[in-house]
Amino acid sequence: MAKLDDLEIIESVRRGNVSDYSLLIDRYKHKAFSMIFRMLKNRMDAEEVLQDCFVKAYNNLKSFKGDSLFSTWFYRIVYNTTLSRIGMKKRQIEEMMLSIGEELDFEDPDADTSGRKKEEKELLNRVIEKLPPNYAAVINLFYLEEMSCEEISVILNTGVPNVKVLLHRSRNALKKLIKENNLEDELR
Amino acid sequence: MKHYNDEFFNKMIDGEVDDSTRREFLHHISECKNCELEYLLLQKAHNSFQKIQIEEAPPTLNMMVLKRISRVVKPSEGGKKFFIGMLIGLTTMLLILFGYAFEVGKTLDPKDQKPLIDFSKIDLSFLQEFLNSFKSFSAVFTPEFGGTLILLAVSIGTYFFVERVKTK
Repeated sequence: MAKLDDLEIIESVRRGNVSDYSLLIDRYKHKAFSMIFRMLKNRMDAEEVLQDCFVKAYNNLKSFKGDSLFSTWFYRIVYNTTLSRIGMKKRQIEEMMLSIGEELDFEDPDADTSGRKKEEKELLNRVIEKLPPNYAAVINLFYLEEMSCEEISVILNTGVPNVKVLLHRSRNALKKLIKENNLEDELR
Repeated sequence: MKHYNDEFFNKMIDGEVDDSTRREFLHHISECKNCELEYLLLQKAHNSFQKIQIEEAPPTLNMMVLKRISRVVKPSEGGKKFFIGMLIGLTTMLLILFGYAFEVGKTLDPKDQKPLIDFSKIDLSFLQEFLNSFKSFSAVFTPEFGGTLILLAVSIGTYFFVERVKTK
């Protein structure tokens, strides 16, 4: 059987084949979960928000006109729902969030900096764990979903230059960490 | 000697630099070890992000979402459809039974004490006659048919009234 595209699945769901919605869930659940989890930094909250996102998307399928890609439309729901959850838990998250103007600082107070080389993966995880929600969203959409800065700007409802700033700052932060951990020798 | 910064390196990685600037930069880093190192570090950061892993969503997600969707949307609509379908089915059965009883009644002799329904006398031609009655538009609106329609309308109305009272 030929693989149905998103619009075909949506049409089928609109005709009353609710179980076909599972196909859409399967298509987006892991990447959407990655984004939500990295924005919220909490697995249980991320699971709840992911469910809410799919239910919201289902309830609003009528309003999806197909002017944009379903993925763009869906990730707007994901991003906004996650931000709402963060708003609810603002006090907890506030300490972790950094304003856009601030320089990202990923220094680990427990890190042994006596020349011991860290695994690249470990460093990457450290950076991602500390990324503020909007940075995490950009990194996920750009590298996992392979979306362009234009598409991401639609999802985040911001300008393309702002998306690029978030992307570049995240790269610069990881670069700084690689340098601090003396991993530059592997580059040559 | 002009040196380059992270902003430029990011543009290089994103392919936003024109050919001549790119050539100029590549020539520069062949001589400037510091700029080369900074560029390679950023390239490494970019490559690392490309290896970012997908977090697995919980395996019960589909079930939970479909359960929530059907709980919110399906029951009332499904219930209505089922009820209306049942009413239409029952009405059709009543119409057939009325028609059958009417046809059998015509053939019975009231003085005869035989059972009400003599199965040996069952004649399926009444079905044909019943269908024939629909050939003419005016023949459809017999008193029996009108009564059945009223019964159907009252039943549907009662159902919606009860539903409305329940939701309030």
